[in-house]
Amino acid sequence: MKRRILRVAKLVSLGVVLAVVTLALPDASPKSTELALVKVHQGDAASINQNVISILAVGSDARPGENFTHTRGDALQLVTINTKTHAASIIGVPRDSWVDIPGHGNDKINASLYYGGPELLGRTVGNLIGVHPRYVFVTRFQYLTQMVHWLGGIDVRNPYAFSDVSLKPKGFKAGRIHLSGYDAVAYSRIRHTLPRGDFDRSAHQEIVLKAIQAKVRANADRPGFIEHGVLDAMSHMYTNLPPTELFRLAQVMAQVDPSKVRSCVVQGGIGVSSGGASIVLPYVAQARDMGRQIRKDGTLSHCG
Amino acid sequence: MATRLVLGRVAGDLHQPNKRIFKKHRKQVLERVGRAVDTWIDGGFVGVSYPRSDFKSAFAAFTKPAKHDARQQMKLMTNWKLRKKIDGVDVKKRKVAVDVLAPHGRPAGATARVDLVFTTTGHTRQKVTVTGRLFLGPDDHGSWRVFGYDVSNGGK
Repeated sequence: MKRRILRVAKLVSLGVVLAVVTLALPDASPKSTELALVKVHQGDAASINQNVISILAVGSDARPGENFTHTRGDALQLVTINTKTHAASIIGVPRDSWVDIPGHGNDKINASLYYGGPELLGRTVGNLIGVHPRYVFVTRFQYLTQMVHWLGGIDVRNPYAFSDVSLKPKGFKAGRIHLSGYDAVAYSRIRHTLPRGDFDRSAHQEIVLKAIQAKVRANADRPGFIEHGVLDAMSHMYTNLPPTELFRLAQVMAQVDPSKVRSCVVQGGIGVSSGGASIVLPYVAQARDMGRQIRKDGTLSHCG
Repeated sequence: MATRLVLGRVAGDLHQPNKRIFKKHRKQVLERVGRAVDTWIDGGFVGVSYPRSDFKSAFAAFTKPAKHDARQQMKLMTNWKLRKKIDGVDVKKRKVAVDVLAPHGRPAGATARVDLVFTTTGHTRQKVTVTGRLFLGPDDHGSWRVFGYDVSNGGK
């Protein structure tokens, strides 16, 4: 019983990206910091529907010992939730998108996490899409593995089969498949063997996020589920938010109706930087169009 | 019938001294959450006279955005449709279990799990069940307010 409670708790804590016994977790031992949730200044807040909350979810591939809030973000997804309708949207941004990073000139968009932490990354992604996130959530991929494992895996509908020699030699079949913790991360990270590389990987990350949220939603009515999830997240988290706000955010995330979630990936051309690195030249007009859509009510009617 | 108010699951690192801290807050948080939930139960279902045209007092303990949403949602509920066809209610069950988030023993959020059953009297007689969850947090003045909900209401 206790083990199952721990498992679902991990699930909710993950949902704070994307959103559990009369006595709670007795384990008071120090835990490593695996998550960061930062509330950032949202310069355009007044022009955004007040029922809309945007959270930039960032997957970091920081190695043990590295400060994961100041490395290069490997996955960038802007999650926007309408708290009134319980609809949501996810906009994926290819990590190699070549953009202006405020104060640092042109570089790959994920470098802004390295230069200025979650706040600068939030500004940089906000400048591209035209909507600045209210929160930036950063997590290590290792923690994602752990959480999906604890929750018993997730189910996704995989649009086509693919594999990767090092990450998943046997590959993922097309159709409805079950992903373990390891699988969820591999599914989110494989890029080289995908027809459209970074763009397809970003779409896969969105599939995983949606599956995690759906599982959170399915478990949200279990007594203490959200409370223990938030507590567990807090024990691994750096944040500038008070517990009450974390709790509200988790409940908002858990209330999202999975049938009302739509996702898009910002497209772009492929180029080479002056330093010889492969880069994505994002279609800014398309990104801004997505921004205009979510600014209105948090949802996407089309990807453009 | 008074609400049977019970403490549900508590999420908090409740080793000492946090356990002592929570013990001090336990009664207060239960009372305050219970008060907010009772405002909703009484104002929206069983503490008002019938027939009636609205349930304005039901959302006195809701935050402003939640109040706005709840007023719209209320019209989808069974009780709204019955409000002019009944002359009273007979409460059969009224239970609220409160799950609490209490990091370091200090309550920061709560989920009230509501289980309300009543029968109506008057022109339309039927059993009505209200189940679901209200999500609450403390405001700046120490009162607890409902900021969200997931409630179903059905009659038969």
